[in-house]
Amino acid sequence: MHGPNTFNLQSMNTATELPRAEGGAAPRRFTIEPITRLEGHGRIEIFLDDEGDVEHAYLQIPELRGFEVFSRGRPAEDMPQITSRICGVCPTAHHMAATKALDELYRVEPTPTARKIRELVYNAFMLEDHALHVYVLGGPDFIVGPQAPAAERNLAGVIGKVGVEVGRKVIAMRRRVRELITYFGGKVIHPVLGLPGGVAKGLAPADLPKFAALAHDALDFALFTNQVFHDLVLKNPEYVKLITSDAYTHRTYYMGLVDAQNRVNFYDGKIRVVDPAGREYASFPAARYREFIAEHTEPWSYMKFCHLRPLGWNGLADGPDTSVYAVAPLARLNVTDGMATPLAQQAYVEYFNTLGGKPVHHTLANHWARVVEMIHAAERMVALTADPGLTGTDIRTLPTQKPTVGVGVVEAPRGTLFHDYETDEAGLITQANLIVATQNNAARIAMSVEKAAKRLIHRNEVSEGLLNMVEMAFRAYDPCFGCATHALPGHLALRVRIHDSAGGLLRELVQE
Amino acid sequence: MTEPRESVLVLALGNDLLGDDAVGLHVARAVAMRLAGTDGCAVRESIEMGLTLLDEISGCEHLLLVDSIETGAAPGFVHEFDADCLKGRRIAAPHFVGIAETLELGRLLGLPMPCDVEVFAIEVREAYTIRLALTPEVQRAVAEAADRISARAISLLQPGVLETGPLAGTGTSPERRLAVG
Repeated sequence: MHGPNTFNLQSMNTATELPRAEGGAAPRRFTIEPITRLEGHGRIEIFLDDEGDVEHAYLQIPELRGFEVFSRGRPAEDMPQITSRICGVCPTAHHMAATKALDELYRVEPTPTARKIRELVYNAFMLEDHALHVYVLGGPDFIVGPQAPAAERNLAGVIGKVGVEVGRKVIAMRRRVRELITYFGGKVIHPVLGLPGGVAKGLAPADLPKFAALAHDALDFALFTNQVFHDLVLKNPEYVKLITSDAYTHRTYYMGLVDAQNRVNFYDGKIRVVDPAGREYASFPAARYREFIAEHTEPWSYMKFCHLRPLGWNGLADGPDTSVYAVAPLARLNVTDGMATPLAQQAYVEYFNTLGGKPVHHTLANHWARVVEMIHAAERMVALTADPGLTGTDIRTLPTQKPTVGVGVVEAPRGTLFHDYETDEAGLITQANLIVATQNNAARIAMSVEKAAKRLIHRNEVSEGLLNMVEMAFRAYDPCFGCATHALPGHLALRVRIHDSAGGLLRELVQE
Repeated sequence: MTEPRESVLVLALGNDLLGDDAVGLHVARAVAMRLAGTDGCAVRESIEMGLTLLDEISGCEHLLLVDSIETGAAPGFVHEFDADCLKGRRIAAPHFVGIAETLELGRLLGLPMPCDVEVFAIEVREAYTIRLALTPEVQRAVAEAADRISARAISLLQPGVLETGPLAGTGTSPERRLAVG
């Protein structure tokens, strides 16, 4: 029976049913597929049991193959350009992580001016990317509201709520930030900013006022965004109830980059991990990441689920025994003792006071944490453009040592990003590995998608709003489909077997 | 950026490191050769996505987008469809904004958006492996796609089309709006 608010899975326009298996067994896997690069490549897979209830569900992100093969034999100095071209979404994060890996590879410390320029560019990028998410991507969920009619939960709805002028502000801010990035690095997608030990171009004193003005405008904009969030989200008790609801809560570990005082730092620092109770579990330099991160595969998923290696794989489950960790804004605030800038610190205190103290386990709080981080990024831009050292002319320490191995890490907008290279003595790549933010988050994203699906699918019946709720569950993480690549050597054959609840093989897939 | 730039913009999307994903970029280069010296028409490539395209497409009257696509058709098949076909399929695009939404946003903000957008999408075989070459069947489609896009661009530049507006022209007649896959 279909109630007025339910419809049958098989009738969903956007769902594709797999062909029936041998013997006519009912298919148990449903896939919601995209069609083209214009729209992205992600995919949600939902597996049902015999009763028609959800057994597993996850967000499928296609794996880019061949990264290591492509990289091998190329000069390490090319990696910041190559990796920034892998993904059209966050090229600056890849460029910076690769540049930092080169610093390590050649064991060379960037000059103080070079470091400031990198930080300025990086914070500008973080601000812009976060603004895009707050207004454009997360906006339909929060600014318009989760309960709004589907027809309004789109960009037009966001503009309707905040006004055309704010929309223009977002676009203008984005354009000015991109001008800053291109000033230092040429094209955003093909930046030539980062070199081992420094940067390719300094800041001419005559050009400083323009960027100082941008920094101040960015801070005004971030504070305005904070106000919008308060007015439209936090003053609505229903939203706060939704943020803190069990449906969007997972008690996991958290990982993020912190400075020497354990405060948020997007550009540099050590990796800190806290447990589900908020206690420090680990603190380590990026070079030791392999000791702490491992990947697990499940027979029903192409995805590799990152978890904490010393704890082993304890399943897609949360609580004290979990080994799943999260990255991204929610995690970054959870692992820190505070923000490094005063206004962001105020916002940080309010955030934890409102949400019941640290750690915050509510996935949807990512949206709020993102706003706190926008303030931090803008304040860092203001501080850096006020620093006389920014216009220094000593922008590079020339490498003198032979390259060996180098791991670079930054906090990308979507979370911790690792680049790991090894070279021969001539500096040609012999091994290259990336762990991108969405990989780090894959296990927790799967848990969120599954939780939403389980609440809304019962006995083949899907409650209206499933897609919204599942989307909301993963959109808070701002997952990126552009580069969730794993750099295994060349093509890795991966066999996937899909079973029904009785263990019968419904379908076998082999990915070469 | 609000100054009209050209009547017809051929904009190719793709990633030049991702095998067949780059087919649009190859097509754009072939189109640029065919249309060299043609007034009122520009050919550009972008490996970016989402809102970045807002700047790219502002100011042109007719937009011809070239992209890769996976629908299950034979690799190298050239699909043609109107950008309106993409509406309502945003489920899988949490991070970036699809072209239909980009157009909608541009219009809401009063930016000069193209009055019509046609998509030429080449079916690909392998777009998830990092490499520079296209697969042979996709490579073979480049010339055909370039011919069709060039012809379409030239027809849009005919005086009758521009004077009567795109909706009155033959370019957006229903039979041109081929289904996607």
